[in-house]
Amino acid sequence: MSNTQINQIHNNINRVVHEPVRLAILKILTSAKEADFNFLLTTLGLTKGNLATHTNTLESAGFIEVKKEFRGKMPHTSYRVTKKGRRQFQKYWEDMKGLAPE
Amino acid sequence: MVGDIEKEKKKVELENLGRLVDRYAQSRSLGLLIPLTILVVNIILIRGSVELAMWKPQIWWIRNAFWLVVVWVIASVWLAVKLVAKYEFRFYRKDGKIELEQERVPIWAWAAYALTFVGAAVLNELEMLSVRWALATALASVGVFILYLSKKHKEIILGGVWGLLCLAEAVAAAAGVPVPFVRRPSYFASLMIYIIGSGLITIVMVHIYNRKILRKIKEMRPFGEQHTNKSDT
Repeated sequence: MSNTQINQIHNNINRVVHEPVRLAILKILTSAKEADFNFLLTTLGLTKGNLATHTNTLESAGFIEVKKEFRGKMPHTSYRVTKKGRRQFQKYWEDMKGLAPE
Repeated sequence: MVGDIEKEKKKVELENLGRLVDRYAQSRSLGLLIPLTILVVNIILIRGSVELAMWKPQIWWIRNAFWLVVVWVIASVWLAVKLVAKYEFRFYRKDGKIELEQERVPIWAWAAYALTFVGAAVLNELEMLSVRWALATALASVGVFILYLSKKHKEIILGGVWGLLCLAEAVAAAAGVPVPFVRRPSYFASLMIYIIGSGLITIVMVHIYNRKILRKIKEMRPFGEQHTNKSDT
């Protein structure tokens, strides 16, 4: 692969997906139909603020859908990946494969 | 080059995380406790009230106790449906909730299950099928249906263990292995002991496995070092 091609892949890499925590969130959400805030918190071991920041970024990019509801008096937030998010996640790994040593 | 190898390692780590999350979601068993507990309580109450009514039928409150039990059984089934709908697997509330994509179970599968399960009981009642073979047929029917249901509802580990235990019990019943805790061979008592017994064993086994998987996920913490609420831009 030529340097130009490598540079092109580098430039095309989606920065929203590229961040490690967001990658992990997308991986979990692509494995499931839906996961709630507590599940992501438990599995990723992040702080609430950190997780909220990353999920907001993914939501702003249109990669995940957020559903907020009240269960009794407790707020409950769940997430699911959108088609766009799934596509971008796949594309990211394909780009990465292009960069892997032959 | 080093960066590329790191990316590959990260991908493998993420693939493992996805697999573990999938296994965790498919091995939640505590939800089974509600229907099984209510089933056990109802069987004890029905049996107890029948025994009481046969022991002292002339006492009015004993005669009426049976009807109270009937009302309780109907109410408890309604309660079980409500509780399962409300709590589902949220015994795991502190660990959060995850749902996998489910597929609908076709009508023909329900019909085939109902036909073989009820058919075995009816044939046994009509004395056309011995307790041994009726039991084996009913358990095989339950086992196969649970396996199929678990595949469709993405509860493969839970349904796999319970279904295979039911099939093993069906083989044991067909081979004439004596049913534990039953002195006289009785179709209904043996069936309940086998189904509830295998259900309880499943809950314990799968719950232990589920906790192990969760511990592995927590240990993995691929990005657990990023605890600070730093900006991500």
